[in-house]
Amino acid sequence: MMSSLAKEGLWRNNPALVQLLGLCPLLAVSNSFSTSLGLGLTTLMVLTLSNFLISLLRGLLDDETRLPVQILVIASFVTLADMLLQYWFFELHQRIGLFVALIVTNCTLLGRAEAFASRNPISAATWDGLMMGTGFMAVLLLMGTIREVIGQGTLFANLHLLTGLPDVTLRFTDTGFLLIVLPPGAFLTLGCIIALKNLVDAKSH
Amino acid sequence: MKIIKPVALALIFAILLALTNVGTREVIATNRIQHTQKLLRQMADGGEFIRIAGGYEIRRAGELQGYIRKVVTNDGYNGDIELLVAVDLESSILNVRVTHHRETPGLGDKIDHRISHWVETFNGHTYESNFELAPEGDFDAITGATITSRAVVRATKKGFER
Repeated sequence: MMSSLAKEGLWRNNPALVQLLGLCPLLAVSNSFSTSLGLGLTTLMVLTLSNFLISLLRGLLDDETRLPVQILVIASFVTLADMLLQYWFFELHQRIGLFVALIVTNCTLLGRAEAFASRNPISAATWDGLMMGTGFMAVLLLMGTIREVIGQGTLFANLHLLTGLPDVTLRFTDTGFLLIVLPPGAFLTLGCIIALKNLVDAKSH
Repeated sequence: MKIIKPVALALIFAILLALTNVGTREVIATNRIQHTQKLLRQMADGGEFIRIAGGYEIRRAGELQGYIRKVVTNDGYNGDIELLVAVDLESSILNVRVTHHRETPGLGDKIDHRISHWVETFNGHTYESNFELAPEGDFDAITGATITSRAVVRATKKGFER
């Protein structure tokens, strides 16, 4: 059960490559490694915890009221996370606060809440959130790396603002291929990654 | 009555959010002020800043050097953008810093001085500059963030108003 859920989230039913959920933040924020890491980590956290909460409340809900309550839980949870982050970790919020607000636009949250967490026990739902979140983050990081290297000629730029560690920016060229950083580049990159995944799947069959 | 459970849950969440807001807002406000003061120290460049109505005075050894004004615009991509504009006594811009914004990470967040030095394009401009984006104006937009750039450029002009 656990390993099949992991396979689902990371590869076979990857939210970004197969379910094509959460494209709005995925395409908008994957233009560099550091922004991808920021969105990836915050999404992973919120997805895991929202799956946990939805599963916890699943006995209380019926078919007609399930969806609005899921939206309620996710929206409240993100707002709460935003406030607490500003309260305890203001410096960190300065760096990743922008991503927290973006998470509500991620359909993966509602998708997993509806398709999985609302019908499964707490441990499986939490694990599913963790694996789906990791799968989403892996695609984000891959896209961020490709787009930053080709589009800006750098890698890990501004990462130190996110982590608070020393600057480790790698610089390959001074000017990159700008198109890849802009929105069309996001679609092109994601398209290539999906094609590659399908190719690997077709070969292994 | 199927409606009772969701309404009860909504109430619980509303109360939870309200309580968290009441419990956290003072500390958050203090945190924000501390963050702003750090930026003000950068902008005053070794001078002191003294609070006046609508902004701050920059003084060096007691002598007035210029003003820092706070400007807020909602013409950005997402929510308010708050700026501080420092202007010297000849009405030319010393520097501009964004103190609060929620623009798109990776594109619009380049208005933040920690991410990119774009805001330095304002340094030295005066009231006579054309505060619009190129080609008709004097300022280049951030690539991929035209709306954000235009909002900041127009808002900066408001920093001259007294």
